[in-house]
Amino acid sequence: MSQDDGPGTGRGGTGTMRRRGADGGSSELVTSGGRTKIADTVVAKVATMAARQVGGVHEMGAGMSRTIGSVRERLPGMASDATQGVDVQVGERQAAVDIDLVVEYGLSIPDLAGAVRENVISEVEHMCGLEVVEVNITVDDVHVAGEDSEDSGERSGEPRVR
Amino acid sequence: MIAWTDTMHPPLAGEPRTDLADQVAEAAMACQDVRALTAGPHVRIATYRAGLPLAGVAVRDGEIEIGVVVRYGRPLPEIAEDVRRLVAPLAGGRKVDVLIADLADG
Repeated sequence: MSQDDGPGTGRGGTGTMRRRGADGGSSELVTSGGRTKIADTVVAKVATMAARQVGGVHEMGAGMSRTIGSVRERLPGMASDATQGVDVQVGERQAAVDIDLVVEYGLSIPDLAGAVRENVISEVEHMCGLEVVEVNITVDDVHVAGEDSEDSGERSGEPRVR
Repeated sequence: MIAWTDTMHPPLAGEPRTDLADQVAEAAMACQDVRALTAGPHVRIATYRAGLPLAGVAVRDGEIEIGVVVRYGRPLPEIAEDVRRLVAPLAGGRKVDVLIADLADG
């Protein structure tokens, strides 16, 4: 077996071939019965769900995208971004994932990042059949419980002005 | 926004392709992991006919194209093979292309 016999240089299992969809935005698996196209957003959603599954991940997204995300949630009729904080790059048979995380305080960040990486790799490979070549994780912030309560405690119950 | 439908219409007389599209839609929805049909990100997969277009199924000369929104849990190529297997008896020799366009939330 040569080193190049991985998931195949453009070839999947026997009688199948992998390539990018002609329309763009999807990867294609060609079998004898027809083509199976998987949209890139699906790969992004799978990666997002895999990252959220790991306990200790508080939120996804770097500062600006979380701000925009919270504004979107308040607007009527706008759904929150299901893939916030996750970017994927999908080729014929491989994918690369970039993740921005906010983690809970008190956990070992390298261990948690490793767990997120492993879960994302196994879920994307299992669900989409793509080989994940790299998962870049950026921990943008740490969530400390009690930090984001709006009443800082300094305001008393009574209004200061009438 | 155009109102898309993926409910079935009663077949109109003498329009074999539209009828086939409805049957294909029904067969594809019979798969448990398929939550809905969709016209796809470029809104290309649809059957135009009298009344509202049928989103998610396009019967063409050499192929049948289906756009689906699937449930999270099974490997996607397997779900696509299931849909292909359910639709193949109707396809009349055409190959069946499946586009997995989205994951259903929740």
